[in-house]
This record gives sequence, structure tokens and C-alpha cells, in this order.
Amino acid sequence: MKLTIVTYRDIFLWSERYKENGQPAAALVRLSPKDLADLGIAAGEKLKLTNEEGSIVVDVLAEPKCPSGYGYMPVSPLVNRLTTCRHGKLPNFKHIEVKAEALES
Amino acid sequence: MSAGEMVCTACSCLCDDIEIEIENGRIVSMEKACRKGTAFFFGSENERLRTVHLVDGKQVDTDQALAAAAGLLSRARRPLVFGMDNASLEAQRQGIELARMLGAVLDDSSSFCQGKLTHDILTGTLPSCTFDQIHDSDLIIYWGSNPHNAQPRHLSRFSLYAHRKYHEMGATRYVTMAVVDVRESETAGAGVAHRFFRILPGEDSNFIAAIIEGIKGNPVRKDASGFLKLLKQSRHCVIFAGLGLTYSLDNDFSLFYEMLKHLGGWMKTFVIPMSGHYNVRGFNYSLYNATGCVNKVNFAGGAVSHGDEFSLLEQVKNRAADCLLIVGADPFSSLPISVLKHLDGVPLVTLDPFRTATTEASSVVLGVSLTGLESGGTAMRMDGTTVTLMPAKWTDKQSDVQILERLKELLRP
Repeated sequence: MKLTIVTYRDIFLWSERYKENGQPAAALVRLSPKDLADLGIAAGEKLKLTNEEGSIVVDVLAEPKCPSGYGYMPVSPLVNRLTTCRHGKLPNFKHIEVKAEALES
Repeated sequence: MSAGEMVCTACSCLCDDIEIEIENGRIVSMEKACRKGTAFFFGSENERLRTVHLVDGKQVDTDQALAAAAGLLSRARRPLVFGMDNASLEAQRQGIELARMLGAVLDDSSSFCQGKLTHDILTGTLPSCTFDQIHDSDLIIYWGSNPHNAQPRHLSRFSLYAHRKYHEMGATRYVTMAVVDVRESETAGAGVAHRFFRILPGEDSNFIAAIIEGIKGNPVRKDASGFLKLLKQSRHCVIFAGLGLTYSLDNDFSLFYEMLKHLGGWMKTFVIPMSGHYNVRGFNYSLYNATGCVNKVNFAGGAVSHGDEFSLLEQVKNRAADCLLIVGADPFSSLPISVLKHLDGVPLVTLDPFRTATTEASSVVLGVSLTGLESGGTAMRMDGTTVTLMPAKWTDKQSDVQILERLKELLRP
């Protein structure tokens, strides 16, 4: 399934940077229940997100108000494995096109 | 034990009412700070999170670190200075002079954040106001921003809940708060915003175009019609423009400005960029005063030139710089890895109070004091107000101002 990832700021993730051995929950994506059903996975399971820049594995959360075809991820170095910046443009932090695949649990 | 008030430098709100108690050189309590502020300052007490002076990963003294930094910068043919958004106005002035002395390219995060809006405010193109003037407003709009996570005390200290005419009971309220966003964030939902206009990602320009059509009297989509109705009830509106808006418009605010121009027919509208780093507005101000530009400048050949090719992103992608001096910034945590990979083999000299992904990648690290807690100065809040920072605790670390001054002395021709 094709998804467009939109990043957002997460205060908990920011705060974890200032803790030793903090466990920032950067590896998560929030999807609509419809997209979860179409992917055949449940909240808490893992999803692989891939594009030309790289590939990451994230936990899935259900967000009822997320529009289908989109996913929300917190800003972090992890999601920056998928981001890019075309000439003369801003980085695509708010519009990251990926292929989403459910991982075997 | 000592107790007093300090200014928080964890974000560009620069909250100046933080109550702090210090005992035996350690913070024992901190009142009124948000989650960001407390994490930032209590985190600074953990020496394992702090920087020491390093050259190629080995701890050295200040003189050795400065000599190594000066050596790299003096040998560079195309040096680039980046950052200073987390540095005082005094450090920024030193950094700008240093960049000029080196003939370097100079840029900060505003080139991929809110620099365009701040430039237009400084040049008088875009009407803006201070936090104090928010009390005259009857409509507050957070557009593409979620202060709950990015500037946590913004609502309670400066905007809605601090508004002199705010009534918790909506029936009698004088001031309305609306949110335009792609996500029902904590600011947009949970009973915080009075009105929430949800748009699809990347749809801001379509939404703005529809508002303009509505102003002209043409039929428009339902959400734009509702937004316009809200605007028509207002006489004084403050828009807090967030990165969501900037990125959706890809830094092209022409349609947004056209909308503001139309709104000027019946109401006053002011825009305040929701800046992140505590002194990014100050950097734009300092550089504008020095060069007439807010970012993306080149001092090569003793002149000042300006252009998109001098942004950090373009410089790195084009492998244009052969040495980077990074001051109070962490691009390795915030930028695409597909861009950063072009820095392989490029020596980095970094000044920062904290260990970061960028200090880990640096050839030379200069550990400095934490401005606001351990050293003082002045900084500019996101609304353009200058705030004085007074150190609350002693440190043996030198400030970024002192380090940059010494670096300048070493590099002076």
C-alpha cells in the first residue's frame, strides 16, 4: 500500500533526548482504521516503510481521525532515513511517500 | 541554597518566570517550567549528556581544542558557518563577525523553517505584533502549529489563557481560538480550540485560495466558508504561523499574503511565526542588521552575497563546503540522512553544551556552558521582544561567546 507520511512534533520524544538511556518512541506510525484493515494488521503490530531513500520498521497505532492514505509519524532521526530534499525545495517532512508492508508477526 | 527566577531557553517562548533553587551547585527544584524546560535543565546536570572538548574523539583542554578548530577553519577554502539559533545575541554577533572574517557562507535553520516570514516582518512587508498586543485581539489562529508539543506554555502564558478578555465559559467569550491543521492535535482537539478546521496534508494553498474566493463573494467549499464567517466576525486577529503552513506552502507565502491583503479591508491581522529554537528570531535580526539578509549569505571575497545556493541544504547537497563550523545546532538529528551523507569526509567543528548526533560526527567539539542556566546574555523571543538571560548557577565551562571570541583571535589575519 502507498502511504504519505506527515511528521509532527512530539514533546515526549524531545524530552527523552535529555535523559540518559531514554527510550524515545520514534518508531511508530498512526494510521486510519481503514488502512490498518486493508493492510491486514492490528494496532501494535509492525509495518515496514520503504522508499528510494531507505527502509524502517515501525509500530502501528490506530488514529480514527487520520485520513486514509496518510500516516502520522513523530519528527526524529528515524523518519529522516526516509526524507529527502529536492533542489530549491524544503525537505519533504510533511509529504514523505512510502510503500507500507505488514511484517509477519 | 540560592533561589531566584530565570529565563528558560528550551524554546522561543523564553518564559522569564521560571523559579529555580540551586543547592551545592545542583538544581533541587524548578517551578513553572514545562516538560521541555524541566527535561532540558535537569538533563544539563547529567555530565554524561554534556560535551567536553574533543579532537578526533579524544578529550583535550580548551587551548588544544581551539587550536584544532582554528587549524581546520584556516585551512578550509570554502568554510560554512551554521546555526547560532541556540546562542545568545552576543554569541551571534561574534559568530557573524567570525564568518565574515573567514569569508564563509553563513546560514541557520531559518532557511528551512520560518526565515521567510521573519524576513518579511523585519522588512515591514508582513504585519506582526508582540505578545502584549495579543490582548487587543478577538481571534487567535494557530495555523499548522501545535504549541502543546512545540511551545508548551504558549497558550497559558502568552495567548488564549493569558488573554485579558478570555472567558472560560464560551457563551460570553470575547476571544475565539481557531486551529487550522492536518491533524487533530492536542491544541486542535480536547476542548482547547473553539473551532478546528481540518484540511488534508498539502491542502493549505487550496484552502487559502477558497477563502480568497469567498471574500470576493464567490461560492466556496464548506470549511472555507465557515472559516471566512469567523474572520468576518473579527476586527483584530493574530495568526500563529507554524511549520505545517510553511512546509505545505513550500515557503511560497504569496497566496497567504494575498489573503491577508483582502482581510485588511475590514480587520487588522498580525502574524507571529512559531519559531522553535530559543533565539532563531534573534539570529535573523542580528544578521539582518549586519548584512540586510536574514540567512543564506556568503562573505567570500569580502563582500556580502545572498541566495538559495547559500542555504545549508544546498551547500551540503552540492558538496560546496569543505569545513563546517556548527554553533548550537544539531542538523544530524533534524535533517534528511539522504542530504547529510554528502558530509562524509567533511570536517565538522561543533560548539554545543550537549552531546548530540552532530557532536558525535564532529572532528572537533567545543563543550560550552548552557546559556540561560550557566551563562547570561540577551535573546529575542519569537515575537521580537528582547529578553535578558541571567545565569542561575556557576560553571567552569566557557560560554559560546567566549569560545567564539577566542576562535576569532586565533584566526585573525
